[in-house]
Amino acid sequence: MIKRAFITESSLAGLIGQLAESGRRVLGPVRSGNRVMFKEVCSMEEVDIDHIVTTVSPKEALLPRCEEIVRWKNQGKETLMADENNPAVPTVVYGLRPCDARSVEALHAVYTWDTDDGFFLSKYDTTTFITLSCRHCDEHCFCVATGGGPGDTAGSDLLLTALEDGLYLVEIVSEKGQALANEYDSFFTMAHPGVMAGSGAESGHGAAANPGGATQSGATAQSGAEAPSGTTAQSDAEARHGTTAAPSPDQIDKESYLADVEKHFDLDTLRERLEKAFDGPVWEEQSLRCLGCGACAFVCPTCSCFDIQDETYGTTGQRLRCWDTCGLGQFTIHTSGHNPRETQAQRWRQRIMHKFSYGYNRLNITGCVGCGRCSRACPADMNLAEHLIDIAGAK
Amino acid sequence: MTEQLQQQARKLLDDQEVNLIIGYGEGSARAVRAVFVRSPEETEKLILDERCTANLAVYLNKKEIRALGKPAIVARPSVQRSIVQLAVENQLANGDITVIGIDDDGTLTLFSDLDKLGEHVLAQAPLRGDSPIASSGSRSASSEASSSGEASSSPESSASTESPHSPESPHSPEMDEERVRKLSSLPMEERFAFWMSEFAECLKCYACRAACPLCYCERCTVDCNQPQWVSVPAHPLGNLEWHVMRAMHLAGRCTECGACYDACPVDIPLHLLTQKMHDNMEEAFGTSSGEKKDKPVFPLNSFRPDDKEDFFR
Repeated sequence: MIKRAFITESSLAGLIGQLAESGRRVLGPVRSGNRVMFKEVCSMEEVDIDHIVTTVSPKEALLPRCEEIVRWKNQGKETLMADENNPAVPTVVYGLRPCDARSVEALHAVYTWDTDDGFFLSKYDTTTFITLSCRHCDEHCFCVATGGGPGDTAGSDLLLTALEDGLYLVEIVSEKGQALANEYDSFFTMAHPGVMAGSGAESGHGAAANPGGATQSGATAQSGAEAPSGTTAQSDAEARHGTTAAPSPDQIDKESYLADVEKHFDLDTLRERLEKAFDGPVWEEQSLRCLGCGACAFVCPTCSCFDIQDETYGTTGQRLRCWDTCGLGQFTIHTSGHNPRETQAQRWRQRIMHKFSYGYNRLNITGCVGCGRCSRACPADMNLAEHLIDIAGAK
Repeated sequence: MTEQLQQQARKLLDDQEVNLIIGYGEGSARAVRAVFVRSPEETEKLILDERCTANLAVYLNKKEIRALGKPAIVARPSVQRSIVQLAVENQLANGDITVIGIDDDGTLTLFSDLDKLGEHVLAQAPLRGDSPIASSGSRSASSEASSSGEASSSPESSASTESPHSPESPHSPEMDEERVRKLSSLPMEERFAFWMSEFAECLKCYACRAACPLCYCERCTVDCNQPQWVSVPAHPLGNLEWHVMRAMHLAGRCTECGACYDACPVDIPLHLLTQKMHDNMEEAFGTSSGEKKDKPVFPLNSFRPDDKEDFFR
């Protein structure tokens, strides 16, 4: 069973600060105008909380949009190979969503399928994901239909769920998560701090400063708090859990804090329909308005295709692995000029089939986590969920 | 307005004057999307309101759409300008399409003669100061609930906090002009820093290219790899090369519809570059794109032995 604990808002901020100070690369959602991107952060103050999902997925922590895989130097007639400059930096990704975390499993399946990809795995092994479950969703979210959910733990190392003001339930999902919780155990507490001031600042500092925080008793925490606003929070918590005693982490009904994401379609039915849909008219109908760009794939957390580019600078050069996508016409063009996927309908079919049929048959994993980024990013309003509902509901 | 459009569309299909209508229909989450109406019954799908700002002219050169037969296209002023520019560049000829022109005041006019459309566009308001309808972009900020749009304090965005990166997604001609003005007033180093920080976000998804009616080349320079002229990876140099190239190729041709910006998934205000290029072109050569003239002038495409510049002779 997944182990649980609590962390206060200010302890969490303290944790993020200490993680950054520890020399790790800490990536968190940062807002600039309309875009929210995962950026390296030093403190919680830089982190944006006012978004459903980030504009671009956090997959760049494991699969950068371009990364060096070989470098060389020409010396006379000889070509000398050199070690690539692409080290894995110990990383913590904070504030990704359960859909994003689930996508890590899909990427891992691809990059360990027939060959273990060293560039991917070295980053995967040194990255810890601290996920925030979803209290809100929007009309593009469809994680439940793809097998996930707003509080899904898959792929996360730690999953945080915001409870009452300033308090989070912590689920320690993996060994990596446990290791991080052990290393920074003073920030976590097993006891409900009970009374949280609106900002959670005072009690949070208390918990952070107390090295025995993990064993701190609920009674101690309660007696230490005096703010009247805290009393209200406490009675809210009591009302929710129907108990006068402060609940333990295991007594928290996590589901009651999560967004209500409906199940838009049945995944098994979709797969069955797709098996017979290859030659159907649906692809052309759906893709007529598709402009054939790569926006959907490049914001997608699970799209994993890449292109190889060699760049030379005089006598030196490097080979780069860069994101690529089946939505672009050039993706399948042969040197002869022949293109087996000549039309956008064929390319759209490939995108859907790969995510929901081929990928599942080969890797037993669905190549879509229902984050809805593709639908939000699409300049032509290609709504993935809508198209999947169409297919799953077709006779 | 919508009813009149539907009637007109129905008549065009009934009379078999066209095979399909390219128009706007209801999309998801309050957005509108392009619809391709092929039967009189389907004309009910057509809508026309302030959300209809996407530049549908981009579909006119799409192979898949062309295969459906002769289209009629619902054309707001920015779409009209794109069509005229496409005609000037010999990408559309009389008889290829029927234009259902919808002016800012809601007037519906049919054009089958693209020269007439050119005259109509010339008689309209100048390039900017477009329409009240164009003031709201099709892209909604729905995913960001009611975001404050506050500029972040990260070093990457420090340039954008003082320079004209607008917090709102929908852009208006007035806003764009103001942003170009502000940017132009910055010292070169700051301007360069602003663009480099914006380009740093570029994913090289080419949505800007795909959404632009005037990016119709069958093989884009970035897709030519024997030799590779432009660096493809989405690294700083590759991104800079792409955006400079895109702006230069559209200099004096861009009709300033803003589709490239609306399409950009990471909100790079790249339309300001082409807008600035347009200003430069107008200043240097007195030309304006999207206007049909007796003799179209393409300062950057033309060669004259008696050109006053001698460096390329």
